[in-house]
Amino acid sequence: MKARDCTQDQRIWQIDDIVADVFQMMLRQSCEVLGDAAASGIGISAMVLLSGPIEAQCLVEFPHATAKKLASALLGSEDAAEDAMIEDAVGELCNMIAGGWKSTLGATASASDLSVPAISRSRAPDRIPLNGCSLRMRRTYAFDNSPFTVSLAIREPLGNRSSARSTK
Amino acid sequence: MVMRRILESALRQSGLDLAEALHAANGMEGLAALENSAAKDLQIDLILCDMHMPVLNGLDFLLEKQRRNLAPGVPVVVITADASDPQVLDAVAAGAQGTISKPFTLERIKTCVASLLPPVARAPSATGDVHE
Repeated sequence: MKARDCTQDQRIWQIDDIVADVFQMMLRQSCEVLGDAAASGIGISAMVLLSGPIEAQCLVEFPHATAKKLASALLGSEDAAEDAMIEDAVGELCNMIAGGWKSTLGATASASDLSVPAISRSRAPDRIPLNGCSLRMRRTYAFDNSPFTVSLAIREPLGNRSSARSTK
Repeated sequence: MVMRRILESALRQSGLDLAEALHAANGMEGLAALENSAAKDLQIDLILCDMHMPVLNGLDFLLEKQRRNLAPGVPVVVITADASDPQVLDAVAAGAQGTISKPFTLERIKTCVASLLPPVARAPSATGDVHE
């Protein structure tokens, strides 16, 4: 399915499926959709950029306690508490969500490159400006009662643009 | 480092009693690890290599490994979160014998690795070179 053929709802469902798959396969845990409001108390974020024919950004934001829980769950041990390991876990999650998302964007996107995750100890600044987006959306999820937020934005070539709508 | 630890754990849970898993944070460190192993005459049985790495990515690691003739004949599995990346095909052309998409299951790791290792390497003492 090409990116321009998707409705906003379909794109949201695709992201929900991608996030659910990552948690099911890598952590053997379910991941619940909480809605569009951002999680509060963000302490760490990771951003992956897509550059090329389609430009996009995938941002995941975690309260520190959730990020620590993520690292422990991925590694299957409590010794994941050190900061570098927690940052890496958040980056890996962002990388997997961004990669899965890219595969839903159609042939044009396949020629775009994914960056390595950039980690920030606060909310990372948007790299795709709001007025340049053909799509922007945000979803908050929870695993083991711990929330985190995924935000996506795309700037597609003019010929690819569908009607731009935002959930925010 | 998280993915390297996950992969090492998955390999051990797959029934591979690894004698040692060498870790490298990027392609450049991976090349150094292979050179070091060759200098010590250590046998490497398998290389797992992420496509997205800082400093030197997976494809460039493979090309440079080939150019330097490091670990010739050792099977390489590339791991990627971006299954639509055209560079995955380039990696296969550069010698990668298996691909694993992230996220993955333990079963997927087991199936892929078992198909590439000779029977002797599936026994205890197999070693691996786990890159991220």
